[in-house]
Amino acid sequence: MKIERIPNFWDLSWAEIKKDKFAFVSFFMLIAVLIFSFVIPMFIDEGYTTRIILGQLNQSPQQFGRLGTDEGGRDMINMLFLGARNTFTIAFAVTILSLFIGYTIGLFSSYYGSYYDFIAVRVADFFIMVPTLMVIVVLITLSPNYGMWQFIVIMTSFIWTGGLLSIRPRVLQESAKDYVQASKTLGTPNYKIIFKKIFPNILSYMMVGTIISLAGNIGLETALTVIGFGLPIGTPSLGQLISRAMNPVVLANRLWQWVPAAFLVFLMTICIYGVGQAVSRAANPKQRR
Amino acid sequence: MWKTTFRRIIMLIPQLIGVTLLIFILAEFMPGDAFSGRFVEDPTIGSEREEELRELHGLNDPWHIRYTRWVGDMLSGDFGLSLVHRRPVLEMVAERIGNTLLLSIVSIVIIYSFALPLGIIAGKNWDKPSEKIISFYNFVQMSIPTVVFAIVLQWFFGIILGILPLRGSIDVRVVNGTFFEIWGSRLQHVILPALSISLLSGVSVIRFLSNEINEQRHLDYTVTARAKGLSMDKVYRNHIFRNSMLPIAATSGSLIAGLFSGVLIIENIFTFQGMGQLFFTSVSQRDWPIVNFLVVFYSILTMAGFLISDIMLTIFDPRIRIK
Repeated sequence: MKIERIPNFWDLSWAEIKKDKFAFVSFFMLIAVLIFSFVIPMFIDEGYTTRIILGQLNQSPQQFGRLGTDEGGRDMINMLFLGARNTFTIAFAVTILSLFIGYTIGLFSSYYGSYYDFIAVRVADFFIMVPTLMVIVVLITLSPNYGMWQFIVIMTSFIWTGGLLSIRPRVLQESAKDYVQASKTLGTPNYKIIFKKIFPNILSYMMVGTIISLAGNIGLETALTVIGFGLPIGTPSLGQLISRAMNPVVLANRLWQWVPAAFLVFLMTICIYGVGQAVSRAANPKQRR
Repeated sequence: MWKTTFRRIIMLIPQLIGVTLLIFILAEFMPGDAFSGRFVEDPTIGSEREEELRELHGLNDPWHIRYTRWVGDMLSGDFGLSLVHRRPVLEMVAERIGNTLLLSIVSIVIIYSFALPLGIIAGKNWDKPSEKIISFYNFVQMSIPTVVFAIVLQWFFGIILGILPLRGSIDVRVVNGTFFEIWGSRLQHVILPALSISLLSGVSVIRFLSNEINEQRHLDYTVTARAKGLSMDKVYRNHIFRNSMLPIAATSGSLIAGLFSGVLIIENIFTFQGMGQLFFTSVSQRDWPIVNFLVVFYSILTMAGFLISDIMLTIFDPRIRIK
């Protein structure tokens, strides 16, 4: 008799993505946008693009060709690619760092329970009560020689608790199951139970959480930069391109300066959520219709 | 009930101490204090006198003494002076709080007046076209980042249609006008920011409610109620809605707490003269007394939001009691 392999989480996710047309299109769009925004900037002269060129200020796409220029005469299409690269780098770095910290602490503290769990939950509760956005803004203003990496560290240190709280109930549930008790009785070391048994079982929830928080972090970078506390001036980002629309003249008459960036952010978020929905159906059979 | 409420309030005290300590530590890194730059115009007062004044007012004391003094001052209602404007912090915040309150209240009203009906319709008609449309709307709305949505609203209503003001919280021309003129202008200015906050926050309410109603429809008690001859309308009204509202009530606190941080960003985009705008201008002017006060104030608001939702849960659902 031939034994068929039981489909794992990745097989299920891929099957769900293939089944859902929207998720399928989103998936490839996402990959295409990511490849474009990381490969094309390699061929762009960043120093030249971010320089002000007086001869070609505020030219529309009809006058200049491509996507026109901004108020400093910079080529908008190059700025868009550079901005997309920086925004996505930040979003990926913040998501991976913060969730890695949150998930790891969550796995251990919830598995060991008792006062480890108590302390972890107290700390996470504390971060919920702190007006995160305000403290992030204060830290950004206070931090010396502020740049992209400082921004990533500051954001990470205030949103890592989300990962912890999101997997805690799952880990508690899983740790109470019989097979974990059996492994413990057999003398399996705790770290082995955590990594070999509990981790694979909650991996699907972690993946869903990662995808959703990636979309959230793109939004957070944009929001912080638009209100003037994001990336330092001179580092192009999607938020910075969108923030031009804060000027009513640009908002009304120079659509080419803010619409492409706004649309790209929207497109990325909707594609991420599209894939996220399919993956969460794979992770949670209850959601399948 | 009073006992649980009291216990919850006691549990908030360590959190408050934590928040104030965090802000105090941050304040240590903030450049300047109440005396720096104050005597620049008067050359007869040298830096020795400035140092003397610092000593006199206890700015050189060890940190725990200064911390307890700061907290004590706040408890007795003394929040200090703004470094830039030389006016009491409380007075400056009081000028802005009305606008923020108006914006928050209008947003909350909009959220619940469109999200509850939509959630109920979607939950009742699961898998039918109306639910599909609402889910699709929800999905698109969820995918739009706050700032992008706000800017698109500004562009559409303020520029293409030209019917609503782009920014500010009141028209300068009607500041001395009649009661109706002032309130008309204020409401006109509040619509766009309130819409951008509430449409985005409403997404989670619609989702939660429709999922909950759909789940409750298949539970045993619904089947029993139907079996004993109750019409579906009555089952909805007397059983399902009541139970489905529980999670909505439970999350209302965190929704409102989340609203405050949304308000911060939105106020800044619309230059709406509220506390959020005051916060960001104060940060960029390095006006630390105002910044510190607002951070403490917002933490207390957040805590109050969570406390209220906990209390509401114990009222709605007697099974839940905090031990």
